[in-house]
Amino acid sequence: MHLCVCRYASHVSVNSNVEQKNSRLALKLLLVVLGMTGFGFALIPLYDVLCELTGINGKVGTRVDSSTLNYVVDKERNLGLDLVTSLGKATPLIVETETKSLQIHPGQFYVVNYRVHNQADKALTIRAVPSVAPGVAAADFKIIECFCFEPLRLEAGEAKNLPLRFVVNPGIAQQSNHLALAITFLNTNKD
Amino acid sequence: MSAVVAEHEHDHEHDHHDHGPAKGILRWIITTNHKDIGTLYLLFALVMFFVGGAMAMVIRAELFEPGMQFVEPQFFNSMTTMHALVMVFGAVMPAFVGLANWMIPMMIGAPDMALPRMNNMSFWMLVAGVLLLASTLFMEGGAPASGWTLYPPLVLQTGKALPFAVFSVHLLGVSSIMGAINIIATIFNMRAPGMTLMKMPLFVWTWLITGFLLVAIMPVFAGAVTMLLTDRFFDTSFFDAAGGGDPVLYQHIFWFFGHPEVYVMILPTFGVASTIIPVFARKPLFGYSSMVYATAAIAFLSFIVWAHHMFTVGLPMAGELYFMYATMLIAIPTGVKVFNWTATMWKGSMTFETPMLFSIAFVVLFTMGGLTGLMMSVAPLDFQYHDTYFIVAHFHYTLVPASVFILMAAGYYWLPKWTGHMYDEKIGKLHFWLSAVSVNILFFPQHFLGLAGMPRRIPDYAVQFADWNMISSIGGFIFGASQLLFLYIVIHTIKGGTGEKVTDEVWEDAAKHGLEWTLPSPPPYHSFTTPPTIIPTEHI
Ligand code: HEM
Ligand SMILES: [Cu+2]
Repeated sequence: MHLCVCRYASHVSVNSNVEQKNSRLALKLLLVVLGMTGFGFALIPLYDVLCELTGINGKVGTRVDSSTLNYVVDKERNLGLDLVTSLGKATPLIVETETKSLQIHPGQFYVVNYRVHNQADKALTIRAVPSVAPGVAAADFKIIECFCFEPLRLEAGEAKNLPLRFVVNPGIAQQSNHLALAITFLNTNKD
Repeated sequence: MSAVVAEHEHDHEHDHHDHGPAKGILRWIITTNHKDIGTLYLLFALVMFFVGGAMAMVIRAELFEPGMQFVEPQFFNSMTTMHALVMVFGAVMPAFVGLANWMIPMMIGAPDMALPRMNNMSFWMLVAGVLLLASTLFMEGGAPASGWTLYPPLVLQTGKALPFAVFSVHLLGVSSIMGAINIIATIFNMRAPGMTLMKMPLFVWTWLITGFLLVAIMPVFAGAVTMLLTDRFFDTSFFDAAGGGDPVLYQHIFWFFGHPEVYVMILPTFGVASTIIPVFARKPLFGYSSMVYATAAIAFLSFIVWAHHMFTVGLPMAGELYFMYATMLIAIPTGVKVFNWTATMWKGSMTFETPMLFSIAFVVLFTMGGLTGLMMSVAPLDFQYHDTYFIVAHFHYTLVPASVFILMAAGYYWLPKWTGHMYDEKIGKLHFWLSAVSVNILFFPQHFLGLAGMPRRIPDYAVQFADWNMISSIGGFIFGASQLLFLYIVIHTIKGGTGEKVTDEVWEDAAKHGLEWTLPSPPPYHSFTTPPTIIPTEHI
């Protein structure tokens, strides 16, 4: 049996010129593929850079230096603020806030305390991730001091009081009159 | 298309160095012939269409009534996930690659694909990828059940199947990238003299653009699933908030791939529709060059609208607005296309053979899918629609009575050319009418369910949704059963069909519309071994 694994049947005249062009184009496209593979991974830092540049990042959780803020307290406005906490999977903590909700004035600095109790019989490294709703208000929610800026270590059975200091920009949009600050506590020990 | 062949290809039979196909099963394994590989792709896609269809039947059976009936919730979710993956990567995409393999060389007057050995490899890699995916059904912890979007953290809870699913995506990705490179190289380098770019049939054009989409997006998808894998097994935290990562980031990366991916399935659909409609309207395609530009515009826009899948994740206001308006823009080139197809039919001498029936249904029903898309593009409204059955209705209208119907149309249109036999028109029409009616019974009620708030991807639901679900399931069973007619027709036609002698042209004056109709039916194993000369004519 004669098997045809030649490129074309022998009488087919595809000149070597075309074959060369084909492999060259294939090679170029392969480079595009490699480039796009790199681009896929580069998207991870790129998204952050993009959000930073355009200033549309809806994330809170970066430290704000209070000396850069010269807010005037707006006693006329009362905003509602709900404090919500939740736990990630396999995170043996008890988390309580001193209050579930409070009324605040924009421009005024506040401190709320979070009480975190490690229920496990081993040390845990916890990461607290804050987020603000509605998303449009996130940029106006300035966190000055927080346990969420770096990983948090709790010894076995340890309980801690953790202060969170914040202020809301008096320039916050009129329709944002009720905010929620949600903090999720995640166990970074993967086992 | 404005081209006729001047020099008819002369019979090649006298050339005795000609290699026919190898004998026996080996022919199919080692073949590098574009027609053989096209056949393999098409038959494989047909099998997968029934495999994915069987999964859909499980879904509709479970949803026939409220309450848990037949399957466990976990398995139900595996079914929705696997149904989508099998249909997208195993059926629709391979079917279009199969059409490309068969038709592009014949449409542009080339002897074969540019890279025949790679062609063989990409087919068998596809088979390996799909088999690997299917094998996850039998693994501890079951097949992936996170939905086809494979969102973390949910997907990271998959059992033993996760790495296998990821590797299968890698294989499918490499396979379609190789297919795309091959198609691009064929179109750029293998055209017959005189076949300028702006004379190429639209099917060729749409595949050229699809090829570029694939080359750009499949690596990104492969990268995203690789990051899932390392998050699970190698302690990275790309998408893990506990380690400083962000699960929403996955959604951005996925949809950077995912949105163009839906156009990978629809652009070749547009191409086939633009090929078939003029033949049966007996008019040239209206607005050929606007079709080309609209296709390119859609492809470009598809890269900058991805976050319309993420309106509810908490995007900043500027993001919501930008993605809303950018998404709406897509409706413009899409509208141009629908207008052009309609204008092509306008005052044409239309006849309604089965391929034309499927194509007309495509124009109407795809437009409905586009309209719901436009509704969902309005960010504040999407908060109501998102993750409900309304979404399911939208994309099934754009995929089933659009992509799948056009694949059926392509089957009926070219089967006589491929096999040299005529299919049974009566059964074809029966298949069409059963499909066209049942597809609407199946999917139209899902709009109502979605508007009433029924979430997608759930095995059980509140009793208020019972009636429309039952109707939808009945439509689903009829639709599923009707497709067996298509299977019958394909086998019957391959085996000799009606016995009627088919001409080279098959359809009246088809040769004016495409080079493939100047070849015998069936075409010789090697066609256009000497390139035809294309002489320009004014628009026919
Ligand atoms: C006029 C054109 C279109 C517009 C404006 C549009 C818009 C949208 C939007 C906004 C969504 C997200 C909805 C949500 O999840 O809340 C969506 C989802 C989807 N669209 Fe479209 N679409 C269009 C055409 C298409 C086409 C042509 C296809 C495929 C051939 C398609 C396939 C899909 C799929 C598969 C999803 C759902 C993905 C998922 O969540 O699983 N769409 N579309
Ligand atoms: Cu999209």
